[in-house]
Amino acid sequence: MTSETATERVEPPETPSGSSGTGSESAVETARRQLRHAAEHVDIDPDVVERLEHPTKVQEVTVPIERDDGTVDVFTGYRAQHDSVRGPYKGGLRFHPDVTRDECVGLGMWMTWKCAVMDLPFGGAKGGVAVDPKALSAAERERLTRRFAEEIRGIIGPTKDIPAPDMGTGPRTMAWLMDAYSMQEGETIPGVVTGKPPIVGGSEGREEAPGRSVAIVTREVLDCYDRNVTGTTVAMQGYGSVAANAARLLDDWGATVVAVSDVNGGIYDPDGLDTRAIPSHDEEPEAVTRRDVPETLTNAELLELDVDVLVPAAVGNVLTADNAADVSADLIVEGANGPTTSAAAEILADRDVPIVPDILANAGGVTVSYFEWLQDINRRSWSLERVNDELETEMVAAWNDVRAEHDARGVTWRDAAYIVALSRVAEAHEVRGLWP
Amino acid sequence: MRDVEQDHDGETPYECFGCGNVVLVTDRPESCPDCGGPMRNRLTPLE
Repeated sequence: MTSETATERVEPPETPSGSSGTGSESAVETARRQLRHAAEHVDIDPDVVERLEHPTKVQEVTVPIERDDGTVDVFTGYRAQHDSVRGPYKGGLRFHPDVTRDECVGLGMWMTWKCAVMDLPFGGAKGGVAVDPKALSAAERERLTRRFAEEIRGIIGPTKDIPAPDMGTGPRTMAWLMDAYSMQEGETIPGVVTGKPPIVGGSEGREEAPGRSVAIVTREVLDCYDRNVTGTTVAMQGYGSVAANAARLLDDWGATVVAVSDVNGGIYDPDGLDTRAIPSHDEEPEAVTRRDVPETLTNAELLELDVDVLVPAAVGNVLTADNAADVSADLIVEGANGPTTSAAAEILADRDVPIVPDILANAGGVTVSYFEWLQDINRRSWSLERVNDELETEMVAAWNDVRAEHDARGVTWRDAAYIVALSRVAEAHEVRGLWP
Repeated sequence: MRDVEQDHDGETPYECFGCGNVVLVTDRPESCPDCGGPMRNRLTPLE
C-alpha cells in the first residue's frame, strides 16, 4: 500500500521559540512554530512561508516481512520530504517504535534548515519504520530494509532523496538499502545513501564529523567573544562520539576539558582531564566514572559547573526551566539535538548566556554526508585529511554567515542560524517561482 | 532541533563502519573489537 498525503495546518501555540518544544507539542508543531518565529525576522513572501509549513510529499508504505519462524509481520514506514528547492532531499532513516508520520515531517523540516545553514545543495527529509529493531534478528532487519527500500525506491535516488543512518540503523543498513536499490535499477549507485561502509563508497571521517564540527564552532564562538581556546575550561555532558571527539580536538587546541560524563555520572578535574587517556570500554568498562580523578559528580551537577563553555552532547531536553537559572557557564554549544528546552532558552537569553544551536554546531554529520555523496557521484575517494580540511572550510564559512546575521540584527545565535537558513530557502523559492 | 526521547539506561548498540560488527556495551568503544574500525552509536542520528 502506498499513499501520498498532505499535512494538516495547525495554529501556532502561544509558547516561546527555542530549540525544543514542550512534551505536549509534536515535532512538526515545534518545527512550524520555529519557522514562523524565524520568518518574523526575514522579509520574505508569506506565501513561501506557508508553503514551507508543509512537506512536499509524505510517502507512507506498508512493509511486510517474513519472520525467521515463517510467520509474516507487517510494519508501517514513512519518508517525509519537506523541501527540495536547493537540491535533493537529505535526511536519516530510523527504525524505532516511536516513528510517526508527524515526527518524520518535523525532523525533515529541521533537515531543510540544517542543510541550508551549511549552504549544502540539499533539502530536508526524514523517514523510518515503526519497529523495534532489537526485536528483529539480523536476517529480519535485512529483509525489512530491502523491502522498505523497494517501497520507497521511486522517490529516492542520488538526485532525488538521499537517506542516511539514524536511530536504529547503521552502515550495514545503508549497504543493504544501496544494494536493493542498485539491483533493481540495474547498476551500482552508491550515491543513493550516505553513511555506508567505506568499502562500498562510504567516506572517511564520518564518525568523528559531528564532534569535529562542535569543536570548530566552539573555537570560532570563543574568538568572536575575544577569548582564546587555550586555557578555556570546557564541561562536556556525555562522552559518546560527539562529546569525545569534540573534547579531544579542543584539548589538542589547548582547551582545558575539566569534566565529562556518561550515563553513570561525570568526572571533574579543575586542572583538566587527559581526554585521550580515558580508556575505551574494551580496556575498562564504565570507564568514565571509574577514572582516578579528584572528583566525581552527577550529570545534573556537571550542567551547573562554573566553566567557560558547556557542551550538552548526550540527549535532548537536559537544560530546562528547572536548572537554567543554575547554569554557570559563560557559553553553551549544543552538541546533541535539542538539549535546551524553549523555557530554558528564554531564561538563558535573559541572563545573556549565548547558546550556539544544534543545527549549526553538530552539522558536521550532514556536511560529511555531502562529501560522501560528492565522492560517490564523482567516483573518487577523499583522504581523511581532505575530508577534515573541507569540513573546516565549510564550518567556518557557515559560522561567518551566522555571525554576520547575529551581529547585524542583534538576535540570538539560534535565531541567526534560522534566519540564514530560511533566507536561503525562501530566496530560492522566490527566484524559482511557483510551478506551473 | 528536537529529537525523540532516548532511554540511555542500560546497554547501547554500536556498529562498526568497516565490518558491520554490532556490540552492546555501556560505554562507547573506541574502535571495533573485531577489526579496529570506527564505531557508530545506533541510538543517535548521524546527520
